[in-house]
Amino acid sequence: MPILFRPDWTRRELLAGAARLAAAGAGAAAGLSALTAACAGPERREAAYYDRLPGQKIQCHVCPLDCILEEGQTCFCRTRKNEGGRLYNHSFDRPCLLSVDPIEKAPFAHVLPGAQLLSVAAGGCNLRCLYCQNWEQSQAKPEDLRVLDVSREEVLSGTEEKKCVGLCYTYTEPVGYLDYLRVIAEEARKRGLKNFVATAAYVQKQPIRDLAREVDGFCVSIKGWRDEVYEKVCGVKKGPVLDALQIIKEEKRWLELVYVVIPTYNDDPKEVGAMAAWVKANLGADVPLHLARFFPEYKMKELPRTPVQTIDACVAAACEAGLRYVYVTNVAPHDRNHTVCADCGETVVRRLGFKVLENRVKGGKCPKCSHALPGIWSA
Amino acid sequence: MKTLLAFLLAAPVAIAADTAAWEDQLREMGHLLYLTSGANVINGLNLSRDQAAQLRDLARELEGSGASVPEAEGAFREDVGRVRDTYRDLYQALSNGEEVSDALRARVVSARAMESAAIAETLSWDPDAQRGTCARCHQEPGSPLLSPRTPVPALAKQEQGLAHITGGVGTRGLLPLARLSKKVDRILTDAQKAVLSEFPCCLVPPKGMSDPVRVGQADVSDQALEALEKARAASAEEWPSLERRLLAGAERIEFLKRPDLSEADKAALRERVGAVYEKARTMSAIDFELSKADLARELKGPGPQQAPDDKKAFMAAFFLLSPGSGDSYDRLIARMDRPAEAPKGGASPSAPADGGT
Repeated sequence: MPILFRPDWTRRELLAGAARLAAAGAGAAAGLSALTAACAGPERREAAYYDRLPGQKIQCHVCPLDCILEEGQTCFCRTRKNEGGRLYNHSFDRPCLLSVDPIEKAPFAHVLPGAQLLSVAAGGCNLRCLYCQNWEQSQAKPEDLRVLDVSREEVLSGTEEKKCVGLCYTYTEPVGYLDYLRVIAEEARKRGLKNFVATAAYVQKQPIRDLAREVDGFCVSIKGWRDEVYEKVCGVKKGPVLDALQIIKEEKRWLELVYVVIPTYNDDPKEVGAMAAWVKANLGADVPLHLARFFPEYKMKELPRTPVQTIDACVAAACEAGLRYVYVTNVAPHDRNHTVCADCGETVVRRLGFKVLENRVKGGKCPKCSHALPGIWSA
Repeated sequence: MKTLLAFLLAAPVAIAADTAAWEDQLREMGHLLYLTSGANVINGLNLSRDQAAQLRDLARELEGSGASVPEAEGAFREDVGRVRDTYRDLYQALSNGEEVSDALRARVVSARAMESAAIAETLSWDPDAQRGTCARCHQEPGSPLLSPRTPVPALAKQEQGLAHITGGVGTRGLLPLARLSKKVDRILTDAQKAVLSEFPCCLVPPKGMSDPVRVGQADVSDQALEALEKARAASAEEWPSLERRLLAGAERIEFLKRPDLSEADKAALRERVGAVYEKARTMSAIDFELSKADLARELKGPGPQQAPDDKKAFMAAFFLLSPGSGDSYDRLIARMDRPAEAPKGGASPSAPADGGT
């Protein structure tokens, strides 16, 4: 006998369950399965991008791992599960983190300086980065985490009430909760809110292309330039990330990059220079690059914080390779917190860490030389 | 028999002579606190090698001008001695650029509690003591001025800042410090000065990177968030006893910062903190999630007042040139000149399976 209500359900789950039960009562042909669904808790959403295979197997095509799942198995990202020969995304409607953050934290330096974004995350991730700062959420199944009792409507109205210019899908890996993200993003667009995605971009071509058409910009984390770093530190391969970056560029979406400089793993300025040269050749010299200080966490607690001199050497290498906007993140104060016009050298946005001290950009242009500055400067 | 009697009479005198004067113990403690705070700031300002070298030279110049590292002669009282030892360990860790371990953090919190208790125990206003000296507010343990104690009047707190600075650099160090502050001001960038203008005396750097500007300020927001969530989760029956524990905790934390906390201060604190918890308990889920950072800041209370503009350079110099800080700069420069070392061992990420899990 299915359980109709659980005493530990949240208010949202109770209402959703009751609504589904009422709907189930109206649909006689699907009565039993609807009753089962109504008893299961938050809305189950069938995932996109998968194929059904014989014998109730499925193959997911969201990311290059292309997981083949038997009935009852979960994808490597921990969010998608084969249930009765269909793939369901268990991160749907299960936000585990919500926060109002400065846009600079994403990090974005060329998007609406000083604005705020509502950050959203659900559990799970298709990478296994050894230094993940949010590993308690990213390396867990969504249903095993404390879920916030917040509906999608509340997320959106909260964004507006807090005067955020939009949302940022971040903290864990948005590829894991892609279905949830896309539903919120669609509604956000209708309300004139912006959508940004902070991702490792280890994703198949079609999903990233579809997503790029639905959001305003990306901050992509490049884990290293040598393949060995990607495999050793994150457990995946670099190639698909570069493909994803080129698709984002093809779709003309705003893009910034972040590279966490990990002592002795990927901190060789030559490696950063090689990466920067590829970025310049394939994405353009105006793509902002953020070189971020590493902090010991998770399975990399034995390493020290990145010395600032190491980061400065990587900055020099990236600039020498031809990138025009290179920043330092997670270090403040630092001269590379500021935005400087690459044409005339004028400081156009002064920052102290995530805080904007002064923004002199006018109409998207440098106030001194009037050259257009790449970025999104108005809402 | 006479020999034994002489020995017994002499022993307390001998023991008393071996114990450092209370004022000297406090002065050494105070200096250690400022030196350690200074090490925090030196690590957190992202000084260039050139800046570090220049500041080191100025710190040595200040010492040469008469500002001295106070060293009490004689034994410390047992509890204060333990505080001193903990602060010394912390100073060593910070000067070596090491991460402060959880164990050391816990020791520092205990030490600070002991220090605050020792200060509170001996805090009593002596209007007859010379202005600007320790004895105006800090009395010897067992002094008649402690029974009863006289609260330090609000007006006297204006003396306190200068008295503490004098304790940190010595009377002879004040004028040289003022002179050198102009040179320090020329060495620092605007961004570094902005960080220093908000820096209160603080021993332990933040663990995380939630805000990379928080140079030396201990990050209490994780504990604050946890407390807020517990407050929300408590039922109507559970709340009164939880509230008592949370308010007592808030009082303990405030006491670490302010050993002079009066009963009136405690009542005001409880009211302020209690109101924040009540607000958190009545918010909707979405309001709470989006406001919790602000609530955590409200729990912490108003931050330290910024020094007036004409005093900012002086205060920056005070933290950066503390007598003995040349050593911190030497070690920082040595680290800058040394390449990063390879890690030992290390984990690998779990490899993706061919299919699902």
